Parts: sequence; C-alpha cells; structure tokens
Amino acid sequence: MTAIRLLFWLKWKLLLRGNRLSKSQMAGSILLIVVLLPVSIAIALGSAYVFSMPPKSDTVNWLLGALLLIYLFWIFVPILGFSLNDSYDISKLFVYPVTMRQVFAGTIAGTLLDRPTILLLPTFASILWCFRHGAIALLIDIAALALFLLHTLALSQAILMAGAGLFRSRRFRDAAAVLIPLLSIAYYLRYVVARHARLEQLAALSHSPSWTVISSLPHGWAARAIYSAYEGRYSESLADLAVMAGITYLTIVVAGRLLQRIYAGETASAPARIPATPPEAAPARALATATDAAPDRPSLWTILPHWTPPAIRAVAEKEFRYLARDPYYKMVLVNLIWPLVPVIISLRSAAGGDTMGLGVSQTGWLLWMAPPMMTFSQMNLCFNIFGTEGGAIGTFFLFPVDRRQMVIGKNVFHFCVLSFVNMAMIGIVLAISHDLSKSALLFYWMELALLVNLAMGNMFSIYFPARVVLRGWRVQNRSSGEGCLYFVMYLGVWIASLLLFVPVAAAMAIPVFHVFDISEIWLAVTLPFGMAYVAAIYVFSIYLVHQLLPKREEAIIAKVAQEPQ
Amino acid sequence: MDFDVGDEVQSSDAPAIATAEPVVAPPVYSIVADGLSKRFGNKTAVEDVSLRVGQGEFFGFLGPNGAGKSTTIRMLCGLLRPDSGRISVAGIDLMADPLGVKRSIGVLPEETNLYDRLTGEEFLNFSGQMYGLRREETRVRAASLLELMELTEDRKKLIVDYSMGMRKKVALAAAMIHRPKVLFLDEPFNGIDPISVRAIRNVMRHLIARGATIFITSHVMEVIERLCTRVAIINQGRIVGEGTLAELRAMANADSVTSLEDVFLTLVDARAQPETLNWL
Repeated sequence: MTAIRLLFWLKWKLLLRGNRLSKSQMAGSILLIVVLLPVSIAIALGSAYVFSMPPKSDTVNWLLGALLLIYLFWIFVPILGFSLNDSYDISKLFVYPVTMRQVFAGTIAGTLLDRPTILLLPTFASILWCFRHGAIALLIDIAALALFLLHTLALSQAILMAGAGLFRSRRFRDAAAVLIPLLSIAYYLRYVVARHARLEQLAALSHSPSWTVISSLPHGWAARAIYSAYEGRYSESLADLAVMAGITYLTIVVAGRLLQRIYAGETASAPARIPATPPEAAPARALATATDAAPDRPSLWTILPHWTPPAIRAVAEKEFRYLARDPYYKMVLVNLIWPLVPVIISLRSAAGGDTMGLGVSQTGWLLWMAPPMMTFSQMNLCFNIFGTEGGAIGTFFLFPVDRRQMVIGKNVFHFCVLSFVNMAMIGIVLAISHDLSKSALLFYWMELALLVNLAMGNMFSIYFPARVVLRGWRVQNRSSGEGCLYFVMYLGVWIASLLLFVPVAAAMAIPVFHVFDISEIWLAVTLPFGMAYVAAIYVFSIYLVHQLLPKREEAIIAKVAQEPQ
Repeated sequence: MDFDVGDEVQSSDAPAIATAEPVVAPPVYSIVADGLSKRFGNKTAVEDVSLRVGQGEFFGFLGPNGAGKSTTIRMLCGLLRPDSGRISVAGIDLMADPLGVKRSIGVLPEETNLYDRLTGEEFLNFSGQMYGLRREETRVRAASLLELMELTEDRKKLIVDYSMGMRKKVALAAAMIHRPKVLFLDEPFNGIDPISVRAIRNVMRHLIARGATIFITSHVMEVIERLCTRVAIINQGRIVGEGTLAELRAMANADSVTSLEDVFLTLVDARAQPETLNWL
C-alpha cells in the first residue's frame, strides 16, 4: 500500500507543480474547467431526463447505453492517442523495487485526480438519483459504479501504458502516424455513407440480439446491478455486482501481468557499439577520399532558381528531406485530406442538383468556404514553423544566417507543399464541377490565403513556439489544459487571418457577384490588387521577423528544445 | 580541409599544462568576456565572470555540476543573452554582430541535439551550406570529416540510429566544417568510448596547430591537464581560479606534483565525506 500511496502522492505533486510552474497550463486548465464543467453538468441533466422517460422498461437500455458510451470513450480514446490523464512516465519507476502491479494500481489511483474522471461524476450522480430505491439500493449502486469506474480506468490505463511500451519502435510509430489518420478518414466516409441511420433504428438495436451480446460486456453487469437494485431484486443485483467485481479484479491482474511482459528488460542498458575499424586505421585513411564524394542525387529541390541564397536552399532542402522521413509531416499531410472529404461529398451532391435550400448551389457556397477551411487545416504546419526543429533548435539558431532567409526557407517549403494540396483540391473541384473559371478563381484565392497564413504563422511561431511531439495520431507537447488554450489562440489568429483577407475576398467577390453593378471585367484590376496586397502583408511579416526573431531566439530555444513531458 | 588529420601535433602525451613556467598569454585575444552575469529567476547562474582567452589557446573551463559552465558557454556562443557584461569573440562584439560571431565559431553543445531524420552526410552538407560554403566545397569537406571521424561507412544512416559517440562525432564535424576560428566544446567526452575520445582529441590538436582557439569544458581532468594550456575554474557562478596549472597550484597552495584534480577540489572547496555517512 505504501508504494500505491507514494505513487498517488507523486501524481498529486506533478499535477500541482505542472499547473504552478506553467502559467499557460494553469490558464488552460481553468479554461478547460470553465468550458467542460457546464458540458459535464448538461450531460448529467440530459441523462437524468432520459432515465426518467417512460416506458420504464426501456430505462435499463438507456442506462446500458450511457455506461457503454462512457466505457467505449475511455477505451478508444487512448488508442487514438489521446491520453485522458496527464500521466507520468512509468519507466522511470523501474529502478525502484516495486512490482508492476503496484505501479499499475498506483497509476489507476492517480487517474482519480484527472479532470475527465472528475467530470464524469455529475453523470454518476444523476444515475444515483434516478435509480434511488432505499439505502441498500444506494449502496449497491455506489459499489457498482465504483467497480465500473475502476475496471474502466484500469483497462484504459493498461491500453495507454501498453501503447507507450509497444509503440517505442520508430518504424511502428512512423507507420501508425499515417495509418491511424487514414483509418479515421475511412471511418468518417463510412459514417457519411451510413448517416441515414435514424433514431428508430437505434431503438430497434436495443431490442436486437446484438444488444444482448453488447450488454454482456462489463458495463452491462454494472447497469443490471443498478437496475435490479432499483426494482428491489437484491439477490440478482448482488450476483451482477459479484461478476463485476470479478471482472475488475481479473482486469487488474491480467493487465499487470501483460504490462510486466511488455516492459520486461526495460531497465537493461543497450549494448555499447563497437566500431567497425580499429583506432589505428583512422590516421592512415586521413582525407584521401575527400574528393571521392558521390554527387548529390537530383531532388525536387533543384526547381528553385540558381540565384536563391544558399541558406534558403539549405533550409528548404532540409525540410523536404524531413517531409519524406518525419512521421509528423506525413501525419499532418494525411490530415490535410480531411477538408477534402466534405468538399468531395458536397460537390457530388451539388452535381446531382442539390441546393442548400436557400437557392444557393453548394458549389458556389464551397467556392467561398473552401479557403477558410483549408487555411484552418493548414495552420498546424504554418503556425509552428520552429516546432519541428525539436532539440536541434539550438543548432539551428547557431548558424550565422540572416534570420529572414531561415524563415523564407521554411515558408518556401510550406508554400510548395501546401500549394500541392491546394492543387489537389482544385483538381477535385474541376473534375466534379467542370467549371474552369471558378476553379481558377478558387485556386487564386487559396494561394493568396496561404500566403496570408504564412505571414501570420511567422509571427505566431515567433511568439508561441511549441515542440511537436507525436502522441498516437496527434501532435502535441502540451498538457490538455495548454492544448485548450492554444486552440483558442489558434482560433483567434485564424479569425485575424480571415479579417486580413477581407480586402482580397472583396476584390474577388465584388466583380464576381456584380456588386454595385461592377462587371467581371474588373477582375483584371482587382485580382492584381489582391496579389499586391497579400505580397505587402508577407513582406511586412518578413520585416518583422528581421526585427523580432533575434530577440526571441532564446525564448524559442527554451520552449522548443524542451524535452517531451 | 588542408591538413592531414592523421598525425598528432603533439607526439608525446606529456601534459601541456604542466610546464613550470607560466605561458604568456598571446596579445591577441580570441575570447574576451567582461563582467558576465546571468540570473534565472531567483538563482544566479553566473556572476561577474571575466575571461581572456588568447588566439590559438587550448582553454579549459572547469567547474562542478551546476557551477555555470554551460550557461557561460551558451552566452559566449550567443545562445543566451547575458543580463550584464560584454562579450567579444574572434574580435567581434557579440551584441553588435551576433551573426558575425556565429560565423567565426563552432560549437559542440553538451546535448548533441541534431536533426535526427537527416543522415550524417546530409547533416554535414546542410551545416556547411548554412555556414555559407558552396555546395561542392561542402561536399568535399563533409567527406573528409566523415572519414576523419570514422563515420564514412555510416554516413547514409539516419542520425536517429547513431550511437551517442557517433552523434558527438558528427556534431563535432559539423562544428568544424567551416574552419572556425574558435571552437567551443561543452563536455565533448561525455558518454563516449575511449576510441572516440582519442579521435576527438586528435582533431582538437590539429585545430590548435592551425591557429584555432579551443574553449573546452570537461569533467575528465586528465584530458584537460594533458591538452589545455590554461584553465579557469568556476564555482557557484564565479571564477575561483584562472591560469596555467602552475599558477593554479600556487593559488591552491599545492606543491608542484599535485594533480589538476586535487587543485580543482581545493579551489572549489569540495569537502571530504561527512561523518554522517559512516553507515554507508
């Protein structure tokens, strides 16, 4: 028990210190509570309303459904890479004489302090309230919910910890970073295809044999224990409770053993490398082969004009190499497919003659909505240009290169890559709409929007850098609280980008929609105006980079070189 | 590179620092630091540090853990802004022309955080171009350095797959590719095998032979004693001793055979094991 108590203490201290040391994490935590607590209470109230709806015979199904949702959420979220708790690295505990079961139990105890667990309590309270039936029933309900929570946390924690152990292979992680977003996109498409599922079908599901099978999962035993106690069938209720207790115990034991196997040998050090050649050989070889260096293979890179400054070329070339090798880039690029999915689906509907009910065709609507959608999805890349440097950021800033060239090198890379994505989108639009002029306008708009995004991103990157760390299919090196704060900031800057883009939008929209009877011929004037305006914004951002970046380098290094938590 | 890196400059392993006569500092200074101070919150990391390192000197910078060595190096390299004080490296004022200083120096940080997803060869090519070298020139130098560091066979491997010693060597190669006038080495021998230590030591001697200045921190006293012409000792953010080994011995009231390690321990006032540890 001492080990578990100490681990609980460790979790508590880390939780407190994490908030105390980082103002952004503290602000994010407060924001998270402000946003999520009302949501949690609303879910609890909604659950209470549903539980009290007639007929009463259906109530058990609603309870089963509610617990199933909680169960699935806690099981699948860690698989997708979201950690529901800001857990510590358990491998650091292996030097101590504690068993894996103790480590595991301590970690589960620690999850009771996590916000998602706490936010679950209102829903549990609503269950206790709606299924109240005397003191004995209340005790059984509390025990059932406690066992359900313990089992769910144990399983979720086991998945999280096993994931941390199993996914250590670089190649596995690289592959997973691409495969998981692809799978989620495939799932989304499947969902869209099957979106005609109606509530009646859900009701039918609750009376189907599948539901009986699903209900035999652990949550089902807890739900039945609660419902039986509510109906006064205490013996049945206690039997269900006993099964639930057995399942929970087995989960902890099996998970503990499984983790023991996964982490077996974790503390053993890697064997030292033995050089292939003896030391005496080195002086003799000296520089003899200096000129034998094989010429560089031609790369995509050679598309840049020869007069491009070497530093811009070097930075962009490095980024292109990373594009091919770093799972972060692969994952971000795969995620850029997301905005294309609704575009394809909507355009297919529009091609079939659907309208949005307002007389506006979806193609026309998309023309104006696509750039904001795309810019938002591209922010991950554009708004943290130093984050990908990771620990090498100190090396990066040691180079005696004009900081404008460094940033331009990165921007060149982002522009090339994201233009390619834009082109893919335009290709889809063109293939479905067969409207070349609209597609060309759309491309023009998206490219200019990308430039504005890059300009804003340069500023954001200077002031809010963050090391990128792959966690499952997500990219972050932040606590959940900080992540929430960053999302709000991203949203704010995105809106600012859109406001900056208003003159360009006006330059296009006024002639296209004949506002003030201005004909489309004026596009010949307004389009170059838009281009000049955006170029001025970009040049201004590079000017600011020159002024601000040298002063911020120290802070950027401190933030980006920070080891992943 | 136009030197044959295979031969050692000093044929004997006689301690460079052990000369009885004090070495007269050359008139031209490669590193000048005056009154450097740096605080992190309430903690003073470096306080009023002043240093003079002559051109072509092999300068050792010693201190216990947390004494301020890395902070001082980071300030001298322009990676950390001092709260007060003035720095000049290779005759260039760091505050006035930080990029000019960075052009003249090479740095091997304690934590060799490199671009893990580049190969060793690609990283050297990248570094060379970032230092303003032409592409062809960079390739030639990179090949030489890889050969020198015995990394030729592994040049196509990603750095993420390198061992600690290989990472150190490739980082050192990158720090030298532009022929820096001053080389800062922060704990270059940490975590690497004796073979790599020897390779790095040879490289350093060659650099000194062609007039470069080396500023090195290390906990390996034997290496410092053997290589360095002068040493400064920092403790709790302050310089507690500076000079040749003979001068340091004099400061520590030690005799002429006292090792650098003993001198160091005396100057940083390292206490003997307390009696309360008798149970151990």
